Amino acid sequence: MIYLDNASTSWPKPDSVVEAVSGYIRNVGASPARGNCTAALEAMGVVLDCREAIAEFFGSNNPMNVVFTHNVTWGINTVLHGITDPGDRVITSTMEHNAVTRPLSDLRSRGVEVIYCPCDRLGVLDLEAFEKKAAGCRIAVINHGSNVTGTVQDIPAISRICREAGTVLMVDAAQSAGIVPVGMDSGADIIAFTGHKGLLGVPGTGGLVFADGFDTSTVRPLAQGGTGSLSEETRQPDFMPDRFEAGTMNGPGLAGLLAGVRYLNDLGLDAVYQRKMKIAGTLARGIMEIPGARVFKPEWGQLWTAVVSFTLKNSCTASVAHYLAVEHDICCRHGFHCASCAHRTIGTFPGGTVRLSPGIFTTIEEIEKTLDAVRSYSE
Amino acid sequence: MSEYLYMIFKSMTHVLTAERAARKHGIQCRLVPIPRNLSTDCGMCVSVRAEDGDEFIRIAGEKGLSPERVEEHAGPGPGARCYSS
Repeated sequence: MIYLDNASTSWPKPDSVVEAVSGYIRNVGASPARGNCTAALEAMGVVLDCREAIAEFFGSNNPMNVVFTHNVTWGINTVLHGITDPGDRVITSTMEHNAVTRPLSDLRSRGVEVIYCPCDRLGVLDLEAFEKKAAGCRIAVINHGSNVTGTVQDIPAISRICREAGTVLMVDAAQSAGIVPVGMDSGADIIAFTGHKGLLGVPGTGGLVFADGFDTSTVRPLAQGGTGSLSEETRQPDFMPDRFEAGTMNGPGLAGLLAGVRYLNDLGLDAVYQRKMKIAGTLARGIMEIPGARVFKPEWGQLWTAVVSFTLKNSCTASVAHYLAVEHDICCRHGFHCASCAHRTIGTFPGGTVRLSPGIFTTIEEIEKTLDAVRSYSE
Repeated sequence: MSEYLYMIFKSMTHVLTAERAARKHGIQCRLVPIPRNLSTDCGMCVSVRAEDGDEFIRIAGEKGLSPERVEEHAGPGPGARCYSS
């Protein structure tokens, strides 16, 4: 099998991640922050290690500002539902994932005004238009790296606009974290991340990182429940991180996420990026050379999250993906990738694209075999 | 004056963060269940020697944390355990 769907979930995982998850299940087992036995303390220690590692990874000096959620979608929903009231305005881009567009659609039905700011055919946000519309918005939510084209938005420029407009900025780093630099030094108020893609952890992990000084009391928690703290009270604790962490935490998942981040740190983010550029660049160039093929990506030299989205002339993307899977055992994604809005923006609606997303373990040999397979389909 | 102090925080995350930081500074700490007569919270607190109390609070402060309560007690604490990171 050739796995080229790392933009959905990275695979394979480093051995250290597999060992951390299984080691937690075998040897720790207990619920973090529940009880006083050795296992519960060990579990809490793993979660705290992970919290500190995530804080450091995103350039936050306060691990208490890191909140773990089930995934990035849950984190984004927490903020969007928790910070807005009817009559508020929210601004976003036309390159968003359904993790953003669907909660915004729900909010719109509840009286929140939603402004979609245009992006060009490569998916780059129109900063002038954004600046004109950002004032008076309660929050801006912006996809950092597109899961369709790999286009990376200029977050420092967007954050400067938001700061001047008095608009909170949440960055959706689902696709970018672990691939291109993204941190609190960008000026974001909130970064939403997932654990199972570039950070090399397992599904069921993700969260939010709040900037120092951001008033978290302005965000209502999406869920309330047990936290292992203030147990005598029926109200949700208002302090961080317990405010947003109701229910038993995903200990095995966070053990894996910790191992994934440590693995990335050992490799170095720059080395990871260079390797991905080499692999994905070879793939993109190869597909561009196929007659009738169109690749949808940023200009060469621009930051890119190494996803190769393409179409073949007169070919259904579902047929291409099916052929690659059945005839060549190549795992990819076709269609809209849960981001139809982005496909309307880049002009690939309603057909969508075929998306090949290499990971850090993808080899040049696998890329050559994949190119042969796409060529054979197109012939 | 009592020999030991209970450092009681709001959250287990805060407890472990402060305890871990203090131990890195060489302060002997024990994690113990919060005695029920002090709080109905089901969590843990940190037991430190009274002579280390001010330094513990200073170190916790560097992490942006401060105990909700500080209570004197006679021994290192019932069921005392050490967490090893």
